[in-house]
Amino acid sequence: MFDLAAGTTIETWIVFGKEKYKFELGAGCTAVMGPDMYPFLQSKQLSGLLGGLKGAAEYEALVGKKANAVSGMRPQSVVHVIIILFVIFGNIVYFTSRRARHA
Amino acid sequence: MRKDSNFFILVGTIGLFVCINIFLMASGKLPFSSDGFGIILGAGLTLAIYSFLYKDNPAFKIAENLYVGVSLGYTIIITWFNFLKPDLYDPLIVPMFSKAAEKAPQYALIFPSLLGIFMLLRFSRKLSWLSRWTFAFVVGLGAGVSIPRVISAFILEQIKPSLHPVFSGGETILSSINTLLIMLGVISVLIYFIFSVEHKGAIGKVSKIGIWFLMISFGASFGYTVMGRLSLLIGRIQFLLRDWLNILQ
Repeated sequence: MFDLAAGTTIETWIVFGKEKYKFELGAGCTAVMGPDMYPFLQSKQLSGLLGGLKGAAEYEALVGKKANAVSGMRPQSVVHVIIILFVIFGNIVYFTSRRARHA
Repeated sequence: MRKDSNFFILVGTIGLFVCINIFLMASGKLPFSSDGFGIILGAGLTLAIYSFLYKDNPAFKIAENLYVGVSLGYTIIITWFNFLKPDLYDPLIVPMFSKAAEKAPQYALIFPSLLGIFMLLRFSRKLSWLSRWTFAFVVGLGAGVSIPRVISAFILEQIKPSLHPVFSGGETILSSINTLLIMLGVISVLIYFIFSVEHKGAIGKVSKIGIWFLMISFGASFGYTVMGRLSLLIGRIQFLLRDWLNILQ
């Protein structure tokens, strides 16, 4: 059983399906839901998880058919790097201004 | 004067959109078929929605209302074909009123159907009390079915990995470190949320470790949320550049 979800159906399948009937359950979800689903992967309540665009790209690489998800990861990675740089920049500005205030 | 400039910007943008589509169809980049017009419609609606980034405008309002209407219509059709028709109309209504029906009507469905109708009586002042029967049934059944399963799935099964032995033979060093990290994370975060003890001394230090675990968790959630929102944008940009304009291959 594999559930592709943008809502709460994965948890519903775990609670009312997997728990009672003990079948293999895999899931694919949006990235926003990903962090909430990883604990179920660790506890083996999910056999596998495709989390967001990253999960989709990993799946495409696994089956050897690189398509939309893999090409989407390039801008995705660039934007993540930019956000990390902005976070670092913001922290540097914050600590510099704090030091200047206390000096 | 300002209204006029907004009007001209809107008309100019729509005119440019029409010209681009005529060029794409004339040059054969878009097929002159229902597929081609579907792509044009999708591109138009995408641009109309993103036009809100400039400011609220009639094109955005049309796309927004269209989205709400289509979503509602889609939900109604899904509800009819996935639930009402196979679970009520076909097994109960059709056999009751059709002489050609092969199966006998399932009269047991009258009870849940009545409960469903009672729920809609919330809109009637005189009969809204009947809806409480339905809510009582739904809450009672929901609690009875859900509570044992939820406790098992969300608490007991989630505790198991936390109680996994660090060294029981056969593990790699990395998996043992992982188990130790899980133990440290669970204990420190739980201690952080104990507010009946002042966070000083050893408790304070452990709760600070808990804060670090929480911050890393929030960071991961934020990263995934950024990824989720960006993938929607990337999907739309891919559609516009590849399917509509044929720039990407």
